[in-house]
Amino acid sequence: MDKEDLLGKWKLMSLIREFDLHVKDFSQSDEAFGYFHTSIGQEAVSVGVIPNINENDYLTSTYRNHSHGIARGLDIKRMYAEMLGRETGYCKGIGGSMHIADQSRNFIGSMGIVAGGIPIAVGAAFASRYKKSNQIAICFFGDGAVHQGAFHEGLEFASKFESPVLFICENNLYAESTAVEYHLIHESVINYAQGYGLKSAKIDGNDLERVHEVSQEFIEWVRRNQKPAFIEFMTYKMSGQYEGDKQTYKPTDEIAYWAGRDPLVLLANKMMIEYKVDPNLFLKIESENKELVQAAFNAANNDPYPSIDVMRDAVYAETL
Amino acid sequence: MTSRLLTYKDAINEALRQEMQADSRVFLIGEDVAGGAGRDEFPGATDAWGGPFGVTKGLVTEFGRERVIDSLLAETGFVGACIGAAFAGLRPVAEIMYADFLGTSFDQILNHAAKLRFTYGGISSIPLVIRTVTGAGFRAASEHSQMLISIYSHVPGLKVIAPSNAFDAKGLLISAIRDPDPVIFMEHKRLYMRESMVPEAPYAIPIGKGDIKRIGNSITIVGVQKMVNTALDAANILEKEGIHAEVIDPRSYSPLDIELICESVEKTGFLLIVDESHPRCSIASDISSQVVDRAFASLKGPIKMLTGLHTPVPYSPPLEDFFIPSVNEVVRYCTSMIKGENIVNRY
Repeated sequence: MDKEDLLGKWKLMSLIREFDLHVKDFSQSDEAFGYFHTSIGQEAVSVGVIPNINENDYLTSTYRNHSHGIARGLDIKRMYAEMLGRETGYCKGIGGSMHIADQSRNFIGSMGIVAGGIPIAVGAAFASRYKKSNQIAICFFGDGAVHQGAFHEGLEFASKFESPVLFICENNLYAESTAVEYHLIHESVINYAQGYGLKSAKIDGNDLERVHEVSQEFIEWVRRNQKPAFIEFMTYKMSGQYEGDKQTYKPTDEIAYWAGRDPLVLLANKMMIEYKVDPNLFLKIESENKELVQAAFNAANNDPYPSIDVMRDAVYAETL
Repeated sequence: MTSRLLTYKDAINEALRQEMQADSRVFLIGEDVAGGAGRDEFPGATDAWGGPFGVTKGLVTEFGRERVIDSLLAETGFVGACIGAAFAGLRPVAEIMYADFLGTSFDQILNHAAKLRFTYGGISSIPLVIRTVTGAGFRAASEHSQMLISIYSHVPGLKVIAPSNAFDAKGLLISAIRDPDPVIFMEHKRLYMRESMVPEAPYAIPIGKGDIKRIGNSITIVGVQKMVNTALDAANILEKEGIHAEVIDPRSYSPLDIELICESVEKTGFLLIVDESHPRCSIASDISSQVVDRAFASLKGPIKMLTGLHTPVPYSPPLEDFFIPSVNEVVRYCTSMIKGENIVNRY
């Protein structure tokens, strides 16, 4: 990637960061409702991976989905509208923050149940192979998901039925409040993937360039070989499990360490040194993104709530 | 016996604590029931959560990690292991974080917990409690808002409890832990902060006994869990209109105290069942059919069900508010029923 590419990636990471920072603030206000799970600290994974897939490839996410949505090119105003329960949201206000997706673009869903999306992404990949459509599926989940039956059965299905799916584990060091060194039996999540015969890699998820490079290679490999593969990205949940979580389970030295490994800071530093980018440019981008997010929120907040019929009509494809 | 005001959440915590003190076979396991597992070396980490609603807060400090266990995010594994542990003589209390996560553990509950005694000739006992969290009204959308009492109640071999207040919650949870069979204990997330007078000493409320929460003779209202409180609020309004509603809380849904409900209907002649869950194959439809079967001659008009809709629970506030039966609707249903007016079902 050249300087302009990198700057574009930084801009996208910054948009995600500003969006989530706004959500974080909003979540503590009196008018907020619902559960919010931000991706602060994990932006490099989304921005490094998602732009590498094709427009018609399939995607599943989790309740921690804001970064995936924005990296997929979803409109932040419609995302916020969804989170505010408005009819103009991507799911007409029916799904909310935990379930943001754009099914019209094969972003199948953001599952509120841990590991729930894994077999579904596998199935979309299986269908692509069946249809010989050359599409693949990418599937995001966290380190906690590896304990679910759906994870193991999904990986086994993909391996056995050679489904072109790229599994992406965002290992953010915590399954809810439980540290990875407690909950993970193996040294790494990829030990499980290897057990199912998957091509796999464990990568620094805060190094945008490395995420981009490895995921691009894996995506091409999956598409070419029509087989599943697995990447574990090591990253850090800089905010809580949900907004409002006091995070008393995090050691202060760990928080400090990862503050120094903030993916936006890492990339900005590198660009300042290697490409002599003026630091003020980052500040300018940041403040522009802040304005974009505020404008998106303001616009979404004026949109109407859905009518009862919207909910009734959403249950079955055929009107009963 | 000394009583004081206690929240539903704290009453459950107290029941767990007292039973753990009394019986060393009782242990807790679930996702983040302590929180911060593996980080016992620094203050603040241990007992970081006490479950997402803080219900089990403080218990790990008193009983240690051996008895308050942070499971993996693997319901099939830990619920299944609790069945085996119960068979082997322990008294497990498992927590499934939301009733919606029933799905990820259901085979172990449906085919094993409920049937391990029956299939092998009625010899063994599976003294297992599964605590879980029900209900809408939290803006938690379709996968974190379901009731599902009817699904568990459908399965022979399981006992199902869903208390509507702190007093019942403590007494019924103590009974559940002491019970020789698998019990599903359902806690409503919108009731956790609601207070009642709760005795300090341990006490047991029998499973399968309903409770008349308000005596009346004009109409019987059966509420399901949180809807008991909605029915009570409506009864206060109806009283001003000269309608004396009798409000019944079944408390247990399997076994169900249908006799109590029928006796009330024999007195009032009208029955409204209020349940925030979906209408089809529901607790409401089950009670309705049983009352028709047993007390048809006493009815002065059709039994009505005021329930949630035949849709998943939506996120958007106006939609979710519409989904959940309201006090005003209970009032409207009751007055129309007594007047013999036709009511168009909302679902």
